[in-house]
Amino acid sequence: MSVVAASRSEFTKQFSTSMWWILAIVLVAYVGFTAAVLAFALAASTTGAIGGDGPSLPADQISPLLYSVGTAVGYVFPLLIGTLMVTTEFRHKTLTPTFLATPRRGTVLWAKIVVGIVVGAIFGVIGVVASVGPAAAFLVGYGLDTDFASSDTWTLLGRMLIAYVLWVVIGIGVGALVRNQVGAVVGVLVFTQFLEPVARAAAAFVEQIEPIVRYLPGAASDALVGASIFALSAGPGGGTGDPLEWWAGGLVLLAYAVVLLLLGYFTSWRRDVS
Amino acid sequence: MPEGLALGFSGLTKRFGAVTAVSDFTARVEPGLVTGFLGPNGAGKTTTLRVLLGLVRPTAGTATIGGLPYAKLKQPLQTVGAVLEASSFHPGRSGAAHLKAYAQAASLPTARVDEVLGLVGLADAAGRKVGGYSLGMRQRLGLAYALLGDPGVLVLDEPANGLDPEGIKWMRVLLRQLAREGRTVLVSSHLLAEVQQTVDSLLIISQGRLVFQGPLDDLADPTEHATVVDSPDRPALLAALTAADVPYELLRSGVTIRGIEPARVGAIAAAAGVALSALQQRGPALEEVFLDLVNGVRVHPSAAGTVVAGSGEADAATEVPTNEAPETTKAAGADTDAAASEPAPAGPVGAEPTGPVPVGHTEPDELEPEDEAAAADAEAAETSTLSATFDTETGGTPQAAFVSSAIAAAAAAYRDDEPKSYEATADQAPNEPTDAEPEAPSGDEAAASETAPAGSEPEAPVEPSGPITASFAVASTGIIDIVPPPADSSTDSPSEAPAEGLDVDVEALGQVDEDLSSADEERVFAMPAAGPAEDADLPEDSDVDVEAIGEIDEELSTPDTADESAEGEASVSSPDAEEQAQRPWGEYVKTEADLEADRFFAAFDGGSESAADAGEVPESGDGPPDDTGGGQETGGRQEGSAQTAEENQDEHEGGEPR
Repeated sequence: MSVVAASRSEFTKQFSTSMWWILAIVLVAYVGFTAAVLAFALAASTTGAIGGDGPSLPADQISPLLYSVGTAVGYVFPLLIGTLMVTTEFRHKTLTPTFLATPRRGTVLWAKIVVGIVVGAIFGVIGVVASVGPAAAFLVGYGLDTDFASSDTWTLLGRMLIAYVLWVVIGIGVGALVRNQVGAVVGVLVFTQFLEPVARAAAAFVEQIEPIVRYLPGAASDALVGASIFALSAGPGGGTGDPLEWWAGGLVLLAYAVVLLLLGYFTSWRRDVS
Repeated sequence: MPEGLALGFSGLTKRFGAVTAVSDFTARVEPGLVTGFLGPNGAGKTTTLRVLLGLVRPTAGTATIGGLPYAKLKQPLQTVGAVLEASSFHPGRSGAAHLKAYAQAASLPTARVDEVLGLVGLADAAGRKVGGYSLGMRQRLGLAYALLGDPGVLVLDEPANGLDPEGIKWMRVLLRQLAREGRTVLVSSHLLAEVQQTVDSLLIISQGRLVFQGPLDDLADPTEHATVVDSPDRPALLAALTAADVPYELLRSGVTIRGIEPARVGAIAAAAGVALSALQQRGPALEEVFLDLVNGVRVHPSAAGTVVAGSGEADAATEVPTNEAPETTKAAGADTDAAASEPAPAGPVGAEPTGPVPVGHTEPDELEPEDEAAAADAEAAETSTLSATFDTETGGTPQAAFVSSAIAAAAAAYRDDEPKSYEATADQAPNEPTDAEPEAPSGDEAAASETAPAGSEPEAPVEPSGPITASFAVASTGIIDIVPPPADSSTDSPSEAPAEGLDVDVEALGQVDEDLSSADEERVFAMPAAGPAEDADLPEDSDVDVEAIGEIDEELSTPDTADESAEGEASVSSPDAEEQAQRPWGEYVKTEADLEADRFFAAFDGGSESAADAGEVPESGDGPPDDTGGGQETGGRQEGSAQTAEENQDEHEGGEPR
């Protein structure tokens, strides 16, 4: 009945299916590959190994940019994990035994949040390793500084973990609100991979929407982390215009999580289970 | 020990938009009983149960468990176990992990997971993913979930869905067991026949409204019971009935008499010296009553008021004296439920004197806990079934569909007086407080013994060219199946003598029966008969013929396999062929299950010769009456000899070794 008991139950549920490690593998592959390619490109161009007239970044900006790939492109994974934590219960009707064992539904949702935080931290570590590993390897390979001696690098990595945790919690809110697993997953992918990138790219050219776009969850997440490859892709001077402070980005992300959870709880979570 | 709590529904109403799923539903479910919750699909059963379990919020009214709504229960899983749908599992999670998650949620020790998995027979599949489970396994896993907290209340929504006959039987036994332990068991179903075997009490819901509440016996009007009787000499039978001032209807299948017990009809026939070829009770068509209630054609008073479960039994007992002995308590419903109401398909009613006629047949399953001594075997079997063996359960409930289940009801009715009816006759009547017809027990017996000569007298080309072997199967409820003698014996008539010998010696036989039985309630005896003429003037309760007993035992010791085909030693070699020759109704295509059953029985041929020997007979006769109760029942009634065919069908249905 207690949140503790319910959390143990949720923990068992989370790690007794193969979903978590399949997603972890995909996360490693996706983030790792992206980080490796970017690290190669940036490091090579900065050092002049591959010539060209493209803009080359100052060497001290490269490492945070590469390390933050774990959140900048990898944040969809904690979001999906959180979403699936809830929608699988709807999809496989396990909500019935769950609510029979723990009739207080708020307790169940709290338990999911607790487990979501743990899972987010685990995935955060995995994502950070997946992005930092290849990036650092290429930096070392091209004789660039990995900045591991700098405390800024470590706070960046810590903020990445916070971002992962918040994304899982947002995912739980999305799952509780949407219920339909396919709908939720498709929605998450469309928003994170298509809508928001387009909006952020557009903001680089249309200044009027820029104040709005920076409050989008992906942008807030990047602000929280403090670095993003999007700053680069948006063009020089474009996306780097006026990002939120890192703590402000964190609060915005947290606000998304809270709002989605409350909406999900009141509109969907307490509905009849049949 | 978990405590069974009463479930209460009070004015429960649930609307989904414009649709009213449940409307002003008020009912009460008592502990210690298996309560069936019946209604057609869409009647609101599942909604009602989900409201009870706090999954669906009622529009109005309350549903409580021991007075509390589900959400207020301190330890929900330890209080209520529920199975609501066949598949509420993540297919990628193992059965053990599924249970572990909920054991943790309910703060139960993880060791409990293995316990319940063993209990439902899934121990071997515990580590496999649920996605690979069969539907039956999922049902079992669902049940394991329900049992996780060892709850005092069990709520099961269509638990038999997807279970094979074995699983259904297992489920029935389990539910009965749980109710006997004092738990509250509520089982929903859309099929009356499905729960009829199990439930003590019923709630019937139709279009969201309660249309019946009460014990199963209350469902049908006892006056709707009918006795079907027939004789090769119909005019004489009709004359006898007319003389006895009994109203009857003459139908093609026989003479139907309403509201009068088979025992009395048999007595009338016996008194008039009319041989009977059939005598059976046809139960009320519960299914029809059910449908009438559901369709609103019929209105039961219980739906309006608050009939407390169990109140109806007194009525039943008074109106149908032999049907309900007072001491029959909670399992009474389960007994009469055998009145599954399909008319007997097995009764070649009098059409063929050669074809022995089923006077009755019943399932050993009918034995109820109260008959403890008598039912010791059955009981043991029932409980041991819990520990995962399906095959020991005694009767094979599915056979009800095939066998004349109406007769089973009659047999169940006889059960109460059986222990007495062989020791004496009419004196026993006072033992039945409500018995308005003192001759009932003896009439019974008369009817039974009349059956034997039935064929012989009219046909009567009785030329015993050799020892004629008649045989009969004895069911636990006392129905005897007469099995015809071999074709080459050139007689159509099973002799009366063996039957009488058996009657006299029931106790001994009972003992033998127990010796032989391994939870099997039904025995078949084959015995050599002297010429009928010779025995014709034997009094019914003639002294025990010791030699005959010896022979009985010899025959008994050839197990209930080949002698079920009943023709003595000669036939043992080719029982099947004999069977076919003897029983035209037995001609059906053998399924694989039948063949398997045949092999199983054949295995006994060599095996159990020494199961009983003559020396034990007198000794066993000394046994306390209680001990031999089952045996007495066994010795009692005569039953149609479609036995073997039926049994094969049983095997077909249940697939169980007997």
